[in-house]
Amino acid sequence: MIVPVVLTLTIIIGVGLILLGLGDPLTARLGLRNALRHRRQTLTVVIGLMVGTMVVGASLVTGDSLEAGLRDTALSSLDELDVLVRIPGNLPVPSGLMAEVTADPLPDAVEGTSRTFLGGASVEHPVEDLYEPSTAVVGFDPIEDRPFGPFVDATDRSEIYGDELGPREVYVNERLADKLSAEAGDTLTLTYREVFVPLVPELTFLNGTLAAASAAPDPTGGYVYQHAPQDVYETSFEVSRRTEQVVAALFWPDPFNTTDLDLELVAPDGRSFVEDEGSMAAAPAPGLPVTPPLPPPEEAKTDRMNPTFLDIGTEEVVAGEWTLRVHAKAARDQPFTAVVGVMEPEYDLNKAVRFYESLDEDLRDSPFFEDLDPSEALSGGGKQVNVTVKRVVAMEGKAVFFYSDAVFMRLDAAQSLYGIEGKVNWLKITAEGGRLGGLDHARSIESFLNGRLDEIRMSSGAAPSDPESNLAVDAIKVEWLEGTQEAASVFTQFLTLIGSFAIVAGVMLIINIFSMLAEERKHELGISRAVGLTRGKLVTMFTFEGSLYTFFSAALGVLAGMGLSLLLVFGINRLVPPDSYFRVPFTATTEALALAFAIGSLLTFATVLFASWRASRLNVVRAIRGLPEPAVSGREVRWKMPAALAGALLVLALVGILVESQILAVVAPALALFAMGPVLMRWLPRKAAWLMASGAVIAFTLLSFVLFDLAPGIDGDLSIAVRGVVLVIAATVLVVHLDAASRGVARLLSLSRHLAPVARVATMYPLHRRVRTGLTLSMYALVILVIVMFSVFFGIFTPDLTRQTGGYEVMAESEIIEADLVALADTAGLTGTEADPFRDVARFDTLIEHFEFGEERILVDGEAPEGFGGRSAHFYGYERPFAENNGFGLDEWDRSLGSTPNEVFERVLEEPGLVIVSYSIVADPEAKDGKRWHSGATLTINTTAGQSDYRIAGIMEQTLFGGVWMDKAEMERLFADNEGFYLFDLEPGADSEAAAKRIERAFRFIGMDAHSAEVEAREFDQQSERVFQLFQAYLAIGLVVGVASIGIVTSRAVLERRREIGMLKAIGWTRRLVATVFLVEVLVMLFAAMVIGVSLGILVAYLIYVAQVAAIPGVSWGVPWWDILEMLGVALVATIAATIVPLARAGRMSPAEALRTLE
Amino acid sequence: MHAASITHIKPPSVRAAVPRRPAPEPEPSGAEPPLVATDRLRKTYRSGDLETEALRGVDLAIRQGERVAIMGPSGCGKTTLLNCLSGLEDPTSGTVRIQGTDLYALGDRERTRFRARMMGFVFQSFNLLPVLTAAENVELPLLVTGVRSRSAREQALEALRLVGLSERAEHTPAELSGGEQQRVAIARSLVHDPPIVWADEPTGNLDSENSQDIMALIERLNAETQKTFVIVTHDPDIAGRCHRTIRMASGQVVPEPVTPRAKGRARAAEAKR
Ligand SMILES: Nc1ncnc2c1ncn2[C@@H]1O[C@H](COP(=O)(O)OP(=O)(O)OP(=O)(O)O)[C@@H](O)[C@H]1O
Ligand SMILES: [Mg+2]
Repeated sequence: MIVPVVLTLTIIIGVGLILLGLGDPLTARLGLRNALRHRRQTLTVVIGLMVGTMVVGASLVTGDSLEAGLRDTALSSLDELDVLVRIPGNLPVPSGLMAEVTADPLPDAVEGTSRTFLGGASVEHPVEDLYEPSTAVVGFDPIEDRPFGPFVDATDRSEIYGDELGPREVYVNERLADKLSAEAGDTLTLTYREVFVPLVPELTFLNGTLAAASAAPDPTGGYVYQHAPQDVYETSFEVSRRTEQVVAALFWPDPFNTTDLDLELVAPDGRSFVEDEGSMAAAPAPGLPVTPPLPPPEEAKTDRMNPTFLDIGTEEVVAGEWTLRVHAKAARDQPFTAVVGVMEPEYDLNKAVRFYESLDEDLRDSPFFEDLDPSEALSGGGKQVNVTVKRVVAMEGKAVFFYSDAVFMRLDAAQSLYGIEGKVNWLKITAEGGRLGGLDHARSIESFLNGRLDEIRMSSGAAPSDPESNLAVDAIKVEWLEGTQEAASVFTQFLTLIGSFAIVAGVMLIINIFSMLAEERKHELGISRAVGLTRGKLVTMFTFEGSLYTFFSAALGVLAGMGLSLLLVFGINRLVPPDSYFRVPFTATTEALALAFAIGSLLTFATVLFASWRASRLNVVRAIRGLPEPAVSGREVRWKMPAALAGALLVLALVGILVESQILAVVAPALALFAMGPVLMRWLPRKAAWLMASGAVIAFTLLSFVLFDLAPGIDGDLSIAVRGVVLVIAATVLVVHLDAASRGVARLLSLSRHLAPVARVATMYPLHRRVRTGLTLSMYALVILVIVMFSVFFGIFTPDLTRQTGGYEVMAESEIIEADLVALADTAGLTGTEADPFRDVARFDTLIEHFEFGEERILVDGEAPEGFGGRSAHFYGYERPFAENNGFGLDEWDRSLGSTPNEVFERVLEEPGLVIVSYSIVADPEAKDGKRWHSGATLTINTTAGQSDYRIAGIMEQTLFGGVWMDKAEMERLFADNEGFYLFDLEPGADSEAAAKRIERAFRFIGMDAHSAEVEAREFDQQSERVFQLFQAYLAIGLVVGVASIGIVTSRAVLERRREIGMLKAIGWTRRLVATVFLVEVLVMLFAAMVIGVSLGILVAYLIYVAQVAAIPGVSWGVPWWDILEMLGVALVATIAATIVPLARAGRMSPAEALRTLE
Repeated sequence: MHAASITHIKPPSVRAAVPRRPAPEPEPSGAEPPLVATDRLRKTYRSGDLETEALRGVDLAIRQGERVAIMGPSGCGKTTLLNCLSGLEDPTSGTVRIQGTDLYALGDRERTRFRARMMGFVFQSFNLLPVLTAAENVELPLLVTGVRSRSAREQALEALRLVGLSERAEHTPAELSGGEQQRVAIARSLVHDPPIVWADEPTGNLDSENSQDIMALIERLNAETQKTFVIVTHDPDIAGRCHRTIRMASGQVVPEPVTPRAKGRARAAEAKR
């Protein structure tokens, strides 16, 4: 929306200029000729002017490139996959239900749908002894999956669809194949865990008493039973959905006395299913002996109940009222229990476990509940299978699969491996139009499918825990890309924020250049005015000259911006770990370039206009005679205007407070204080007035960091930038009016006999041209301030990882939870060997972890946490040893629960309803102490089964393992699919990396993935170091501006002071001495800029730290002096390098020629 | 005291102190080598294809203590000659000897040192550093020869006293009149006590009254200190107050036209010999 405005404005100005030029061709020509007359001068001007455009261009292009990179990654990760239907957490769903979801008619835009299973495994290549702990296992149906495109053989590039795969054959994507150095024909071992699908039966009981038949001894030694008429007992029950399973059982105490035990299920449609146990003791004809002989009734008594089962198996289940019948004949009176279980597919382990525990032992052990053994699910039960690599498929198309290590196999093979026959967990949908086609249709397909799901839910009358109710449609590609855009624009904004300092510096440089141009031409301009050129024409002339510069410099700036962004993109790509596939393509769109050009032009043009206006106000006589502007004081001072201005600014400040604009609220009063400078001059000497005014501005602005609540108003972070600019300008005004300081420097320099002649000249010149010095100084100081400020913040926010790891040196995760690693290592015969995983382990803790996807999985005091926990949540379950031994500190905790963090960790185990959370859950960067919630707040965990509320007992310091920490048993009740999480504390001095390797290797068959915390910390450090370097590189643009401007200012100064140089050389100053004068001037200026920049930079950083950051756990104040010194060193060297040419020119200048030049 | 209140006080007139009288003749000594001597001095400027012969073989000698005027039409090469004599500009050919030292046999650094010691300069447009006070401007030549700043200040004040500007020591050039500025420049040219002072149109930017003041000052200083003054001027009055005038035209020294006064001087010199 801003783009068209800026472009239009640029065009309007362009057209306006042309019209103006046509209306007044003479003046226009004069202006243009001026620009072309001094080629060299023009070049420096253009280079100076292009900086702003360059910064804008670089920010935009880099942002675009980043977005393109993220977009490419998203597109290749997903390939043809546009919409995904699944239950969050990837729980299995009957294939038939998925078929219902995609039953015809579907929208035309749907090109294909594919029911897929996604599982996980660790994969080992035994021959190579290589192993990859976390690998995706994708089961696909070759025919359904066709619309998603082919696999491409990595070797012969042939396109295949997977029809050729046998049940134990897989495709392996190149990424995984490289890691395992696997080739076609190799055998790989997959270690995986069967998918646990808890089925919770809904039981209907039927109790009765079987009436005894009369029994008489048989001649063979047994008994003959005389049956009464057959009893029939029955009850009815409801089956609400076709997806349910129906199982019935009959229990009775006496195994030997039954003559007939018919159990019958009658479906609503009249079908009957019968279990006939009577064959064992078939009802004999009355009076006939029974063989084999049965024991006497007394002996047949047993405590155990004997079951018989009736499972309708794969027969169709019809919803409606069913009947359970028991047709029983018994040898003697005895009670029986018949039970029918309607097995509803259930996704809540909590409920399953509770039900299971409520069963009596007999029932629990019975095969009736074999599907329902949660203990097996909780302990994992790893399985292994060998598969053959049919082909290695190239990392393109669907084989990219989220850039993960992936194994692809037939769906039926995967289903049988994972024990979920007839089920899938993903329904993939691709829209027509290839990869990008989905973007247009995804939303409409999404809403269609949501409608379809609603219909299914309605017609099947699904309960909240049914798969129908939990299936969700996810327009995954569209959403991913939207997120991508957001991320890229955040990055662009950040670059622009940093860049805005460079832009301000650039604007100062432009003003400087133009005021120097004006000064240089003063004589000429004075004469032009004297011979009758009006002020307006003068402005026109200057404007034309400026517009020519503007045009060229904006064009050059766009090019330079592209170059700069090329470097940045190169830098970003270097940041990416080499094994990641994320690459940022250099993307310069026409829009971005046009926008950069337009913004740059407008910026420059505005500055040119301002400078022209300033130049036009010259006093003709003084201009011609080259006299300095007189200093005004006392009554001549025009104080009414500034006073009115100050008043207006104060009103503006009030408005700023009302609309919550930080910029107005802070900057307007600061400017008002500045305006008091001229007012004060009425009573005070000029210098004193400025000193007072600028001092007041500095004090006020600094105070504003503390006084104002820094909660960003409508203008957000920009207010910090603006405050930085105000501070620097005020400090500069202060310094250039601080003659005492320069006298001090002069005195210092005069201590050296060699520098004595230089001292006075070099220190007086900068003070003589206060405006120019001020602009150069503040620009350079601003650049240094920004670099210092960001350096400090990078230092503060680089977390100290050793404090984050709780004193554990190795952390590991496993697919399968293994409660007893020691026993495992023992069984494997590793104990005491070289490969003993516990060789350097002092102690370790076994925890469980769980990751939940989806919105609002956790809430604190009813609200979703912002960053972490908003869209997903991580849980850790621990036991007593961890509670007692861990070194994770708590940032704050409920003191009534314990006096040390470890006591609080223990209390959580003892007292139900308590949890500990990591800082990231409660973080709020805008709050005073960095926290949105505190201990005592209520944490709600949402599972598919419902909500559970907990009280936050404490908040951890660490941010590495962000999430909710709770009692392991409690967590097992909440979630079915937990993984193992282990923390190892090593002996002092042990090599953590080697230990991690040993641990990973020893436990690879449970999918162990171990890391050295130390190595992780180092890598993290390097990573943030590189990010820092990248931003430093960007900040360095500002430095380039500063250096360039000092170079330009110096070469101007040398030109301007030619006659003086000539005179000095004539009276015997050597080359070196003359060059030294200029060098000392530069250094004095640089030094002043450094003092202002470093002191204000640290001060501002400290104030922001105190106001906003200090309360954040794990963050401590520190100044990276070495970084700052390094940067100052670079600045010094660069500045000297930039001034060497003009300095040498000054030294070499022939005195005769220098003296000959006219002013 | 307020700045405006002192600017209207006229400085003590130098003319009053130094009576206008014919300058005394310099010590004529044939045995002593001339202070400044040139031998077939040539200077040709080249800019592109264009060649300008600014000096076409100048031979001249200036003795110690002489007050010499150089006159000639505009563009005849006066400034060029002065620049060559003072070592500011390398001649195309020929030599310049000062106290017997071949100026252009010296390297740039030695020549610069030599200049710092031997010469003072007064320019048409004063060329004071606008950022320094009068005293600081006068100190410049001293500091470069390594005089300590305290004694430099004393000598500078002394020089300013000599040119009658003691009260203006702390004023910057912008606060001084043209004549005053030129007197500061003269103080600067003398402060380090050089044997020669070059002045290129020192009164070119001044009105006639100020010009006369400056000339009177030069006469007095010449008389008091026996310094050699070489003054380029267009003003016959100024030339008239010198011991002799070197006339130039098209890059060459032309023979002195015989004026009664010059004749008298020549005769007197003859008689002494
Ligand atoms: N740097 C230069 N390049 C080319 N020609 C030059 C240069 N300096 C002087 N000239 C030429 O040399 C000649 C002598 O110049 P010079 O300045 O010595 O004259 P001048 O006698 O001092 O004149 P004026 O009385 O106007 O000051 C002139 O024709 C001038 O154009
Ligand atoms: Mg001249």
